[in-house]
Amino acid sequence: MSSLQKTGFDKVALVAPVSIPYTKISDKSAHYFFGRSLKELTLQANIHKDHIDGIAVSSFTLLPDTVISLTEYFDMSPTWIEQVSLGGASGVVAMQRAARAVQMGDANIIACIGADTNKKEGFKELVENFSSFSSEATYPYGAAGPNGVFSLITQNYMDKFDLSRKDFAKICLDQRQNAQHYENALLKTKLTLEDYLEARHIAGPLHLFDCVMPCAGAEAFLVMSVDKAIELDVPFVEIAGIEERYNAYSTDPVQYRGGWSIFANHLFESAHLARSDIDLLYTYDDYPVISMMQIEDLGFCDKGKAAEFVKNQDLTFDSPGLVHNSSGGQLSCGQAGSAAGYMGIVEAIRQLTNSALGNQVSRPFTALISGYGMVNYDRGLCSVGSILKAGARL
Amino acid sequence: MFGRLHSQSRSKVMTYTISLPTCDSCNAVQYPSREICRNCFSENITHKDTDASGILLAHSTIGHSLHNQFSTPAGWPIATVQLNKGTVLIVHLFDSAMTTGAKIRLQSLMDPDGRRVFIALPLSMKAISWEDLIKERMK
Ligand SMILES: [Zn+2]
Repeated sequence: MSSLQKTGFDKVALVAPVSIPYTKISDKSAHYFFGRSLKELTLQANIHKDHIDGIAVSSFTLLPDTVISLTEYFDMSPTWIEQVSLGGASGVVAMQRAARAVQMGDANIIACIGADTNKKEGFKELVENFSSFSSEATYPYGAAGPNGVFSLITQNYMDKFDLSRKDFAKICLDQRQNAQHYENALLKTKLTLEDYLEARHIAGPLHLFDCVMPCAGAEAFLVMSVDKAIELDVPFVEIAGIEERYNAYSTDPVQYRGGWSIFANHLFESAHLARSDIDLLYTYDDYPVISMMQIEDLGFCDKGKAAEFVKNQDLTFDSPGLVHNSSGGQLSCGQAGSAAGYMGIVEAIRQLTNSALGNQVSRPFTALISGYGMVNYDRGLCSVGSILKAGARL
Repeated sequence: MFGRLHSQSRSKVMTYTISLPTCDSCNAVQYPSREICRNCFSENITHKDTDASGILLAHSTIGHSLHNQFSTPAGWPIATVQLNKGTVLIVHLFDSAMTTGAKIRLQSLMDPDGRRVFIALPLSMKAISWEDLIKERMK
C-alpha cells in the first residue's frame, strides 16, 4: 500500500467535554442520553442548540433510529450529519470526520456524541446479533459474547509471551485507583491483587475484574475551529494527529497485534512528538490484554513486553510519569456501549483544559487516545489513534 | 449448513473430512460462509470436503454463558483451531484438558437449535452426537 501524505488537523479545536454519569441499567432510550449530552454541550460552550450545525453520533441501542431521527427528535436542522458505528474506535473516527468537516467549511460547530442505554436483557440481544459472522460462527460456541473471543485472545497471548493471570492485574488495579478519584466512576471499591486473582471465573483466563460492566451513559464533545473556540471564550484542545487502520494482520490466526503498529511511527512524526513526550495515554480497555496490545503496538515498549512495562511504573493519575486511563477507564467506570469509544477523548479534553472531575493530572500537555473495536468474528477490526495537545491561544 | 462428517478408509488409516464452503474459481475456503468469494469475488461457492485435522491454537472454558444449554457444571470448553490447510475456526472443544499445540480433528454435529456446528476432538476419538456430549458434560 502506498504511503499517504495526509493534511494535518491545524486550527481545529475540541471543547466542552461532557460525561453523562453511567447507570448499570436504565429504562430510558438512547435518545434520552443524546438529549442530555446536547443540553450539557450547549451549557458548557454557552451556545444555543441552533448554533450546532453538525452532529456525529455513535450508538448500538439507537436502532431502529439513526442520527437523522435525532434531528427531528430535538428540533435541529444541521447542515452536516454523520453516524459512526465502529464501537471502541467510534470516538476517534467521529472526531476525525468532524475535524475535516470543520476544516472544509461544511459545518461550524459539530457535536460528537457516543451514547447508549442498557435495558434489562439488552446486552444479550446486542451480543446475539452483533454481526452476521458472529451469529453464525462464534455465538453458537458457548454464547459467551465478547468474553468468549477475548478469553481465546488472552490465552493465546499468555502462551505466546509466557505470561500468567497475575501479569494482567496491574492495569486493572491502577485504573481502579484512578476511579476512586473520578466523580463518575461506577466501580470505586479498592481492588487488591488478591481480590483480582480470586474473582469469579468468567471464561478461560478471564475473571470478573478483567471484564467491563455493561451500563448506560454518554460521552460527548464539540468540534469547531480554534478561532470559534476563542470567540466563544471556551478552553480548548487541539489535534496533533489521527491515524486509522482496519482489518490489519488478517492472516494472524489469533489476534495478538493490531493496526497501531503500522501507523504509530507516522502518528508521532506527524505530531512532532516522541513517545516520551506523551503525558496521558488512553487505551481502549475492554480487556487488559487489549490495553497491553495497544501499549506495545504504539511503541511504548517492545512486542510482548507490556506486562513488564506496566509492572515497572506507576500508571495512576498522580504519578509523575506516563498516566494511563486517568478516570479508571471502562474497567472501573463501566462500558456504556458506544460511549466507551469516546471516553478517552472526553477525559483527555478535561485533563488538558485543567477541568478534571477530582482526578486532575499535574500540568499535562499531551494525550494519546487509542481506539479498538468491532469483533465482527474472532478479532477487533478497527485500530485508531490520535494525539491531542493543550490548546494554544495566539 | 457446513456439510457432513466423512470418514474414508485409505489403507487402514482413517482420514476425516469436513465440508466447508469453497470457491470454485480460486479454491479459497469461505469461513464464516460467504455468498461471494472473499478472494476473487466469484459467486460460485460450493461445499467441498477438506481434511478435518489441525491443531489447537487457543482454548478456553466458558464459565458464564448467555444461553442455558452451555451452563454445565465444569463450564463449556471452546477453542480456536487451525486446520492443516490453514482455515481458522472457533469451535466446541471436547476435552478441556487439551491445550495449545494439541493435534485435533473436527467433526460436525447438529446442536439443539438445529445448527450444524463443529467440535474439536482428540485425533483418536470416534464421532459423537450432541446427546453424547451433554451426557459427558453433565457428569
Ligand atoms: Zn475465489
